[in-house]
Amino acid sequence: MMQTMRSNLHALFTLRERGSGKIAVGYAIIGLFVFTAMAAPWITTGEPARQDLLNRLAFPSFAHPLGTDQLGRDVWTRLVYAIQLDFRIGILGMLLPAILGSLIGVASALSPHWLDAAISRLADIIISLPLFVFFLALAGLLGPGSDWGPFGPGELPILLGFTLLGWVVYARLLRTEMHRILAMEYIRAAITGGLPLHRVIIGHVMPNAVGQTLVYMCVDIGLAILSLATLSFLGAGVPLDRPELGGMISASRTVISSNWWLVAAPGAVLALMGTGLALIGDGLDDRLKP
Amino acid sequence: MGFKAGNRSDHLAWRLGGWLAQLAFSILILVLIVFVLTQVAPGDAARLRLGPRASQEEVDVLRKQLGLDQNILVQFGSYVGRLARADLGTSINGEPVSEVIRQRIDKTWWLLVGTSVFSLALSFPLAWLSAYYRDRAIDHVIRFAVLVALFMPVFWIGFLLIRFLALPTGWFPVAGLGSSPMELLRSLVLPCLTGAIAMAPILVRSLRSSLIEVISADYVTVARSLGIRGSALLFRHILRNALGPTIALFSLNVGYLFFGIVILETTFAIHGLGSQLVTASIKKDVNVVQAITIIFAAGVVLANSCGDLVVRWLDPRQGSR
Amino acid sequence: MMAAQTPLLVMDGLSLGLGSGNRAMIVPSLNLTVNAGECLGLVGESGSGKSLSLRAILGLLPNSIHRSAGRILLRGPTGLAEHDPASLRGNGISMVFQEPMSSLNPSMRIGDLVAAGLRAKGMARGKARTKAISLLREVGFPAPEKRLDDWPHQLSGGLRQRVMIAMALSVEPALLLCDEPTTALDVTTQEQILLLLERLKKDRGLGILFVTHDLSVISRIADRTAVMYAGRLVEEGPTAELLAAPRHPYTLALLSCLPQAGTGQRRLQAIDGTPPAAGEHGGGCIFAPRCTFAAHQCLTAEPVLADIAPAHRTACYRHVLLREGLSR
Repeated sequence: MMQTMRSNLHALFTLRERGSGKIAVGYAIIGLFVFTAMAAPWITTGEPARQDLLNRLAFPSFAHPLGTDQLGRDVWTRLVYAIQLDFRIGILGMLLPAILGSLIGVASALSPHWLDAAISRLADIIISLPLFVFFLALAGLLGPGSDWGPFGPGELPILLGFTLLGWVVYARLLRTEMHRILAMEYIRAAITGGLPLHRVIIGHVMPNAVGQTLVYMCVDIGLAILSLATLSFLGAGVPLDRPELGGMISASRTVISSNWWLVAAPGAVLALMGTGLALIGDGLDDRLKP
Repeated sequence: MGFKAGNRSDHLAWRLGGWLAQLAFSILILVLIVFVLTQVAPGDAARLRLGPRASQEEVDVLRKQLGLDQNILVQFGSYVGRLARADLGTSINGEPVSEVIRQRIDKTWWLLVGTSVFSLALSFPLAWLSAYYRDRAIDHVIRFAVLVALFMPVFWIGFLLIRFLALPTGWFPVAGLGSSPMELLRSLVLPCLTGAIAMAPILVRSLRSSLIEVISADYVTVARSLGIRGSALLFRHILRNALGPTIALFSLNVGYLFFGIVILETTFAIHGLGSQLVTASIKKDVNVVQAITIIFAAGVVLANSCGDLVVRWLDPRQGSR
Repeated sequence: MMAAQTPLLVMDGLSLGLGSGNRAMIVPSLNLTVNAGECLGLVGESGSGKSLSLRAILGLLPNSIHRSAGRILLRGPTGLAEHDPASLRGNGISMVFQEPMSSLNPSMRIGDLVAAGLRAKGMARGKARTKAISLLREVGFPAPEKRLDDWPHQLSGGLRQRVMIAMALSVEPALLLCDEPTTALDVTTQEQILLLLERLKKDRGLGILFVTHDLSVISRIADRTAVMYAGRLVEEGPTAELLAAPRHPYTLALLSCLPQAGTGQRRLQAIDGTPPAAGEHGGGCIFAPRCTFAAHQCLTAEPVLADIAPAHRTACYRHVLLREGLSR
């Protein structure tokens, strides 16, 4: 069974099976973004906040590949730093719910029946409610707050919100898998025979659950980035002065008739990033299908 | 047949009760969460109302008036009590919340109806093409386009449509909703089109698979074997059976649609409930936020229930037991 | 009774392949004749291509399967003529399907279902409805005039299959294609449906092409039987003769898979091995790898269908051995 997990992980990194085309394209896109984000200090001015008020709303030029915004800030630099920030929040915004959800899923399956049922019901309700509306209210009411450890202003409430609402999908995945494995005759026999529970989880539940979870994780990063951008646009995400894709679109909306690329570029980056991630997830899904 | 009809209404009564219970439970949870949020939200409600210049004494008096000095359980109890009496309280500006909602709800309603119509008008043909020509080039193109569209921010689509469609042609107003029926329709086009593009990724995928299921159903082959073709085949044998799944799918995604409306209202400067929710939550106008979230949640539960009802009504198999 | 038969349907060199191109042939080249007023049974394991061949007659193949060669000829007023499969639908030929549960449109009432084929031919609503009642009565549907407004889901499997047959009869076919119409039914209902089909054959002079994997059904209904294996016809002959004295090892194997009713003992026996996948055939007899009679000759050259008795043909080099072995 460990084999399955290894082959699932293997599937993520090899390029010679079903769905490889999609995965390869996805990797290329995401690789490009990761490279851009990491190389930020060398390929940009390195100062996303530096204003040049004499050179506002400049057209693209060699010095400013994407021109400048209303405050004369270099848009290319801001875009690269926005990719950095969005990517980081996207990954954290996927990872935290994934961890919480997986734990809840496993715990739920091991709980007494009434608690297990109550958790499922709660998950149903969270799914059926207008989640994002609610999220917006939450992020708005909490306010951006200020820096907290490694998190910049506005990041913590968003991650909190992602975690509170996003755990559901992961919990369902793990819970279903747990119930499936625990219902198996030989597993029940093994547990009665003294096989410790953690061995069952690590050896039998995880290998199968990891594959499906990975598929969803890929899409989920994209969705988290999209949600972050949307919240920033609505004014309930990270403050507008920080470089963020949604915030950049929001800030440039008033100059769209003259400098439309200030709006177009961040959105295109977002769509491309999401597509790359979804392609990886899709290809992986193709590969995991029997 | 009589007894069957009786059974049916019994059955309905049960379901109706179920929906009401679900609605009540959902709202209770929602109220609870929103209430807890308002407690942990930074800033003092009384201070927010009076502004930074008010003296501490004035704030204390208001705190007493609002019951903020009592313990949390008492506050929650009186809050639920007021809600039960349909007393939504007042906004930060002192305006009754019910009035705030009354002024804005029609705009949100029009947007909701328009976006629903546009969404189906866009997604259904795409899903049909994709299902009919499955695994051919056009199917791959549609599926890829839909995948990309999933990650396009709604407001971004809106701004691009404004810049490249509305501004050059001048056909559509780019902000607000018109008041006369014609103007209203004209001003709805852009936001509803934007909403439809944003809904497409969610609808097309599932619609495609349920259409494939119907197209390849045995009874369609049977109909074809009898020489039935053209519109009779399409409408009586295929689309009639695709109607139920389509409605079910749409009503399931109403929650997503509501959030789309919030963004659309902000993007196109339409003063409806959605944009009000955004401003109220940023201003920490708790009563307004609570009221609007509850309305949206009720709308979603209601839409789910109505969808369920229509699907049952359409499907003869659900009628009798 | 075998004398002077007129061919009603002739399938001439029908080829079915997976996808376009000729890489994987499911049915390489099939020749079949159904005579007027006769029931031809087409029998074989699932995956032998029998149902696909049947569907190919009306051009109702799944997307992934293509007809690459062959002609379909149907007797009309001017004699046998080649037709486009789609033009034959509801026009001389109609079909009864296997699954009574999924074959009836769930959102149409019984009356409308039976009238659908007639309405497609332009018959007026009221007239089609009257016709539907008489059709339902003909297939033994109880009190049809009262139940025209019933939904398919309210009917039992047997009644649904009767509705299905009434639909197929509504277009006045000369040939009825039956794709395992009794497989999904219980034994009693199965018997009733077989009796009904037999009666219709007699009353209407209907030609029937009956596809099944079940030899006991074949023995009940078919005048002649054709046995299909891996897309090829391996034996064809009068049903009684073929079942009593099979002249192809595959037919013999199918027979020995049947539970024996009279002997009191059930000698259920499976055939060893599996049929080859489409396109996975090197040369020689297609059945040779699973055949207990196979000789060297069988592995090198493919046998063709040859007459061994009047109206009885087999594609086996060792058929004489079979006859001797059985008479012992």
